[in-house]
Amino acid sequence: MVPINKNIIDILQLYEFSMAIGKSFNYKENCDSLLKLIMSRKDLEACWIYSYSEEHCRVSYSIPTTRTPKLLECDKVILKDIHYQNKHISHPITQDIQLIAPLKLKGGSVAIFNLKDQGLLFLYSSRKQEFSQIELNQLSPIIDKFTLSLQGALIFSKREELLVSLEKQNQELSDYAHIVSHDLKSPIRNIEALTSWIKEDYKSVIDSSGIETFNLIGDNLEKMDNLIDGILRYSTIDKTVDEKHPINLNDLVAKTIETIVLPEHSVVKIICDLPVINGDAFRLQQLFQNLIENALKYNDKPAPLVEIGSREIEDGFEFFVRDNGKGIDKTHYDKIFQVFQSLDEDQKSTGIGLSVVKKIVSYYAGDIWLESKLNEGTTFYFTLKNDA
Amino acid sequence: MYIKTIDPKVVAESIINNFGQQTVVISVAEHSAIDINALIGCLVEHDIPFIGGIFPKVISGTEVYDEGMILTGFSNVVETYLVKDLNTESFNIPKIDLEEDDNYFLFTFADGLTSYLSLYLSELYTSYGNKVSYIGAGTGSLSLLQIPCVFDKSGIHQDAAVGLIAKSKIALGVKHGWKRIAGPYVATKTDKNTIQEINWQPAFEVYKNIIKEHSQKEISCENFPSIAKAYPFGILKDNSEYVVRDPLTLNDKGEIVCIGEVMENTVLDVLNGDNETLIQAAEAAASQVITQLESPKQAYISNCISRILFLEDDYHLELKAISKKLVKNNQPIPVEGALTLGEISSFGDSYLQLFNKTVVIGLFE
Repeated sequence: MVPINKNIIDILQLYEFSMAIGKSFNYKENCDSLLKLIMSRKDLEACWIYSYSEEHCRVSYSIPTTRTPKLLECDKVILKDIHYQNKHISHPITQDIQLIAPLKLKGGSVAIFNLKDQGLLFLYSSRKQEFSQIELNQLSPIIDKFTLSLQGALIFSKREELLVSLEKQNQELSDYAHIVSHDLKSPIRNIEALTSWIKEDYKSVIDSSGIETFNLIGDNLEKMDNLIDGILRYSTIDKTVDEKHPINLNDLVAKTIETIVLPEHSVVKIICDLPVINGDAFRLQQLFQNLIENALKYNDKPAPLVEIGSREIEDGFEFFVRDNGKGIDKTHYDKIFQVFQSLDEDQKSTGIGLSVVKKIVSYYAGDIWLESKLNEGTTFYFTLKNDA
Repeated sequence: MYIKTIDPKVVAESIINNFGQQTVVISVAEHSAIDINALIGCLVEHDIPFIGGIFPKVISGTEVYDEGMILTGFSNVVETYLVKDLNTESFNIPKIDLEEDDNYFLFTFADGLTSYLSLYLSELYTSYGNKVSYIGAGTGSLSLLQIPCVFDKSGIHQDAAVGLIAKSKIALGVKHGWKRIAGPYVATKTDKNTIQEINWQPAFEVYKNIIKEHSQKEISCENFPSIAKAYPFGILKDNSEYVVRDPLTLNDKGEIVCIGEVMENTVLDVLNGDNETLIQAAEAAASQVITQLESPKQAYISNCISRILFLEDDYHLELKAISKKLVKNNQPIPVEGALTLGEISSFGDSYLQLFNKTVVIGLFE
């Protein structure tokens, strides 16, 4: 058999190396995949990466992991000089190289590859007096690709860290809301019970002004109770398990209307056929209930009217809830969706309803906005995708 | 030292009489009748430091034994260790502090059929690097059914490795004698030690055609082991011997199962050899090591079990060739070892590898 051309072997080795790049988003696994292969195929004894920047200079990967050199400022200068050469080089084992190596080197040479923002990669062989320019050129495109994959791995790991931190914060917030609501509700109930006992036990000695004060205390307790329920609902509405089913919104909205205590002479009606969408019944019910209650609550007309409808749009449906109420000044359009922001001076208003609505719409990647004319009424619009 | 007995006390007495305070490496032939647990208990009772492994056969001089055991003593042992759970990725390599400028070798026996044998070797190198030279062997049964096959004072274990690190010089010779007949190919789809595709085609189809072209033989599922033993794969490396992979059998999907991992996209040649090239290679390995140490005292051979299956009656010629070369200052060096499921060596100072169908000779001072 005729010996095969060395060029073919070199090309296939490049293929093998290139296929080992980017197999993982994990920095170490990413390094393991390529660098262990290069060490094995090229009979190398060690490799290591210095992550180098203005702020830090450290060994971020090393085989073997025998020791971590404590770099002095002068050692960092050596690395900085090599880094600023901005090229791939072969270097004999000088005192400088030994100073910055994470293991005892036994002569030979290192190939140093510039990984740009990712630092410097050292490949070590005690048997090579130098790495040839051909070897450096052969590995150069592989190392450039590897540099990009390291950047990707670092970005991924930062994103993972952020996600973990965010999840933790969300969990803490959720736990906090549950704890606070439980702890606050208990004294509220106690105060309610105590005041009702006082009213009952001392009704002969409390005058009408006193009774009115007790009623005010009762109203405030009710508001606080609603506020706590609202906070809990707001903090958990996007965290409960999403159980999606096809929901006929005609039925859902009709049932929702039935549960609302309608003020005298008020009318709430669905003015066109609503669609069937795939979604979570509880969240959708909360969405419509809050909007309808809101439309009724802030209505100053003798015959409050709320109309609900929808139309099909490109990737789903646009809904509206229209009322003939007071209307909202344009300056408050953003504010009303913020939690605890109430435009009404009604003592019972918690300012949570619309923020819950916005949170539900956002959860389903929809939009919500409003149009309003003072003294004529307000229309809230929101969009939901077919598959909410 | 070769010993054949079923009495653990005889083994303990032999060790005490012949090896004194040395740590003993025990290579046991799988058909030995001795109760390994009783042996472990007896050695512990006598406070004898040891590690051991079970092999298809053991070697002493130019003889091969199905029963009995080889006792090999090492002085200046810094530490012995046991690594368990090699069937998972989460095993722990012990941390052992080594002096910067001393010569060390690491001798290890590892379950030759465990899933993460390559990872174990890679992690060993990551921990100790080129501070130590490595030699070792894959343990197990010729039946290729996994069994508990490494032992130390804590008992006998499966999916595990034992080892020792000694402060002493070692010389290593690694040769196989297989020559390229076809390639290069790319193992485009693999799963650990199974080659599923070669050059984007079913691996067995490609392999079958190569063998037919070379020998006119039709390889099939039934005759696979008897023909494939002469056609191993060789992983291409720069400037050194192929890393050989032994195609052992076909799985139920018709994929080629090897001893030792073949990573996806590995560049491979298909190799072939004859008795002459294999024996010459073993002789070359012995010639390679004998020049490296001034006063060697003993040699340990990790020799692949498939070499005896291939060489058959001529295998003793390989051992003779090795023994003939392992002579220093007119004194023959005792040669002992085992027929193994995978051979472990670091090719001198470089990266640690698992080999198949290869002879690894370690020469110790």
